[in-house]
Amino acid sequence: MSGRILLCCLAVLVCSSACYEEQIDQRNLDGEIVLPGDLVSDPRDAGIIYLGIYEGYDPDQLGYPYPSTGPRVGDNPIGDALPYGGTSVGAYTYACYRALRCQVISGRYQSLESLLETNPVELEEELVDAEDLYDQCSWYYGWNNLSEFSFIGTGQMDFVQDSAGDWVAPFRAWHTRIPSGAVLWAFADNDFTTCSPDQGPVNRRRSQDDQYFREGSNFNDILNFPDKYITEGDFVSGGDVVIEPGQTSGYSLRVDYRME
Amino acid sequence: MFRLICVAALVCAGLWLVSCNLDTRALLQDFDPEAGTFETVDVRNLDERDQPPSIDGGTYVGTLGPSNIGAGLYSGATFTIPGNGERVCVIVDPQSVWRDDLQLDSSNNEIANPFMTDFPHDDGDLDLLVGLASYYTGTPGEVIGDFLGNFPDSNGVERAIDLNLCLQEDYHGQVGGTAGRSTPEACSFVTLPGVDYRVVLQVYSVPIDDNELRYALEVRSGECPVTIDECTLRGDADPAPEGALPSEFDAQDVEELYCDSYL
Repeated sequence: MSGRILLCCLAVLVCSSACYEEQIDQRNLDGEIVLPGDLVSDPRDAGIIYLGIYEGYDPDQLGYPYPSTGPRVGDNPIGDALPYGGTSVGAYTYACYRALRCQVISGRYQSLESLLETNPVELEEELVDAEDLYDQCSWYYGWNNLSEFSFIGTGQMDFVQDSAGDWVAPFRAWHTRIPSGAVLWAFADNDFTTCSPDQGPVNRRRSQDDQYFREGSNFNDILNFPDKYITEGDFVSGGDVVIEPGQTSGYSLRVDYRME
Repeated sequence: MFRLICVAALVCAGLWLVSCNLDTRALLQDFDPEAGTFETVDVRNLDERDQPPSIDGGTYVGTLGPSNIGAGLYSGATFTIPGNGERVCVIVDPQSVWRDDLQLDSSNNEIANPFMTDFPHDDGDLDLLVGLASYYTGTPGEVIGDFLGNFPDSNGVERAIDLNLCLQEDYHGQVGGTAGRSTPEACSFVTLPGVDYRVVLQVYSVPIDDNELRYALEVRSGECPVTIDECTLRGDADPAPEGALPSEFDAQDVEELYCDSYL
């Protein structure tokens, strides 16, 4: 009898643990990034979109829409924007040739031909074609089928064109603080300034080709100091999207200001 | 019979465990294996010295004991420099240890080291912080601190901020790096006239030969030199044992031998 009571108590304890509200401040934040059609005719021309949740806007500090920042410390040219959280639309991916390092972004290419069309690769004075790229990737990654290519595929496209001709991509900022009054801000790095060729995984075929290099990856302070990476031709969100109390989805942020 | 086998197995396992050296204290830098005790953290206020480090005051050489990293208790030293409205450079060079009895062969076994090539894992590591003295969270001579602060932002969220002015670039050119073992650290910053700045040396690791970290330190006016290496500051090496160095160079330690004889 006492064993049954103990078992019941244990069951109640286990079940009640699922009801425990942890009061964690961090939430996932969902929304969409919009690239205006009159600014971008093809999303392959747009770089990675970096999106952050910030304390507020301060367009006066740098003369273009920019998040408010903390105090400037030491020789830093500007203060840390101290994001609450953030995410990106697209990620740098190593497309099997060193010439494509820091040039290819996931979620932008339907096919190998599509990738080579905007990123032509010349090898021994000849242009690489889709078959060459397929063979190179098969050797480099060991892929045997196009479905394994992580940066190619119609089902992996980030952007779709809406009825107004704008390019729309969903985003999810994982586990971020979203206090009411905070703002969403984003920029598109169209010239790959945010990619460090000396970071990322080491050449996976080093033992065979005896070459040491890294595949390239993001710098680690992009959302803290976006101004370091924003250059002429990049796009910045010019509007004002404020986090509403309790709302964790349904946000739409237009990245519509072109840096001159 | 089965129980007997189980008991025997347990006894054997117990004996096997007892026979192992499970004392992991030897892995801790603040453990003195000869005395069998832990050393207390060594926090020094250099402002109390007769000749504390000062701007353009030459090279200061000192020693520090080990930190208790696991407990978050750091050994280290602090001193104060008055701002003069100009840029100031701080350089610190932690001790490199060259031993004639230790190097690793291709199988990672320790072997004799007749050429005294450097064995990097036994060198000292000292991290450099600088900030406004009023932002310093430690107590000179008592507790090593940092320049981390908090403030509530306009949305009512408590934010953390690092007010360390000693910004060093890492391998990728990113601010926030620190140098590794035996490698000098340096930074420069613009000072405000009449404002005190606190320089903090935080012990990350001490040489394992004597649990004592020797360092050389200098505060200079202006920008830091473009190239800073082992020979920029001198004095951060222990005297070499008698007969360990080739006699024809008349060097007292390997740093002197390296910097004066070979370069």
